[in-house]
Amino acid sequence: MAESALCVEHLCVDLSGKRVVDAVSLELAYGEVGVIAGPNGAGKSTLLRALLGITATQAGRIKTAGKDLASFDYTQRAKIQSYVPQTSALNAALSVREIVTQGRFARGESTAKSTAAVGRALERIGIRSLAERNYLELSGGERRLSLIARALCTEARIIFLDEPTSGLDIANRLRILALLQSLASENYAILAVLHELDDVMNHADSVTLLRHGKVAYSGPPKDVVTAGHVREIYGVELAENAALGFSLPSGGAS
Amino acid sequence: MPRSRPQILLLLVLASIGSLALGILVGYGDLSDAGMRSAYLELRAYRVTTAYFAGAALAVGGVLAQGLFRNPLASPSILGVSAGASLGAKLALLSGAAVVGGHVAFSPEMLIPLGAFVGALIALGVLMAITRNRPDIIALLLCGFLLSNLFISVGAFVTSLGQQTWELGRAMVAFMLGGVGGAGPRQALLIAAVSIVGIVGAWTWSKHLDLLLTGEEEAESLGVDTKLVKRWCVIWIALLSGAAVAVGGTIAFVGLVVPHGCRSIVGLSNRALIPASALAGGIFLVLCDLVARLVSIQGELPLGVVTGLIGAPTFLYLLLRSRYMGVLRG
Repeated sequence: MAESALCVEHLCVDLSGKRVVDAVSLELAYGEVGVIAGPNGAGKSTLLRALLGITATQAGRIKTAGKDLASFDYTQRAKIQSYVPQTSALNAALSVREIVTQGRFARGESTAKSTAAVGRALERIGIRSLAERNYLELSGGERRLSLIARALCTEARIIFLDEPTSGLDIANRLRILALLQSLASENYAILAVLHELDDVMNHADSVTLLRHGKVAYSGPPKDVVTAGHVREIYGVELAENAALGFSLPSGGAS
Repeated sequence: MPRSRPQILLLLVLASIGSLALGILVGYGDLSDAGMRSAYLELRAYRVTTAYFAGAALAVGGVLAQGLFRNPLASPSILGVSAGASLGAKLALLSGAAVVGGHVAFSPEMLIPLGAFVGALIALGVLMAITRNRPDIIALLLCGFLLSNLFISVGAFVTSLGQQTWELGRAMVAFMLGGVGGAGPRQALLIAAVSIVGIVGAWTWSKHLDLLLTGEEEAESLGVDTKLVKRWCVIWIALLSGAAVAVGGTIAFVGLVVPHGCRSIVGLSNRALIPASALAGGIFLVLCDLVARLVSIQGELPLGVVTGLIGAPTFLYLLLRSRYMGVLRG
């Protein structure tokens, strides 16, 4: 059985007095791509922030890498799990290299010492050529890849991603999804918030479908993303074989 | 020709020495008069030292405020600490006058710094108490703005009370205009000690501030305890700007212009930006004070007026040509 990366039990989160995440339980193993899905306002991003330790929780338990998340301080946490936001709040003209180097903060290294790790992360994501480019001048896909490189540079084995494919064209979307699968094959634990159910079907190992902050269904995508469940949760009909199929050419992940 | 950061810092150190020497050697008063030379040099040394460290403190206060609020237009004054310090100094002057029955028979030399420190600390205390459960930057910013306006309004009232005594009113107006003309050894020592402690203290948080550029959520996910960083940065800002107000009164634009200029030379990393701004802020205020001394209009030109006249157009120019802060491009 694969080693557990994340174990969440009956987690509750309130925002402004309203329960946004309600008794959510989920598990994620190393080597797995897990997805949190659900309609807008279902509590996906709040759940992700709670798992990161950024948002306070009201009840429940989060075990990360076998230990209670609350037992870690900020730097310990950053060595265990990393985060790729949907869009970075960065408003300064830093280079991609500087952004990726931020991933070494928790290691307490000098910039010179972190050079090798930064180089490895850039190489792994295939964006070495972007290293000296201004982050603010990159395309949406390149920005997303830079933030994934920063997450990799932390050397944390658990990576949380908030809607990593939103707003991207089909090629970049597939590239990012293929990259996540590739990282999972290297024994990273990946947990992403995704909206597109066809992506969930094709690229996830497990999915937790939320509705009104509660887990409606969870398990392998083929068991969760069914016509009945989609109708119940989203109020739409799942059209069989209606979507166009796309795939990357061989080696397209880079 | 582009230079490395250590080279730029070295150049700024040399320029600092040059500006200090210039500030001491140039000015009214004949240095060839053997009897007066040492007195002139001593007085100018206190004045120039005070100007240098006040400039350094104001500039680093600006760097910290801009980093903390992720806004290149932020300055220590938006926390309300400068206004609080200014109000504290005016109240100290007023209470000093009241104690001796309306006569200005006190030395404002130590009353002003004491009042400014107390004012800055009270402003900081009120700010932190209000924002205790609202740690986000926007809440802090709005509370700072509110407090600043409150202190300015009360300060104007205190100034009007001070006008009832001619000497007191004049002292308050002189304080409002800003200047280091009356600086002695106590002021020089005070601002030097506080600036060095504050700047070194601020520098230890430089990497944390760099990560705050990405926003609080991301910074926390990367291992930054943002609440702790904010708390300490607020303390350093209060200390530095409070001390600068105490010895120099209201001196505008240093905390805005100097960090902006330095960013375009050394980049955004606070590890280099904080020492560069400290050195450049010191040079800037020493030279402004020199101009204030040499341009004589009914006595010296107030230092706050000089920094305003130089600072406002410089800031506007930097703002218009700025390419280094994405936020300025809208």
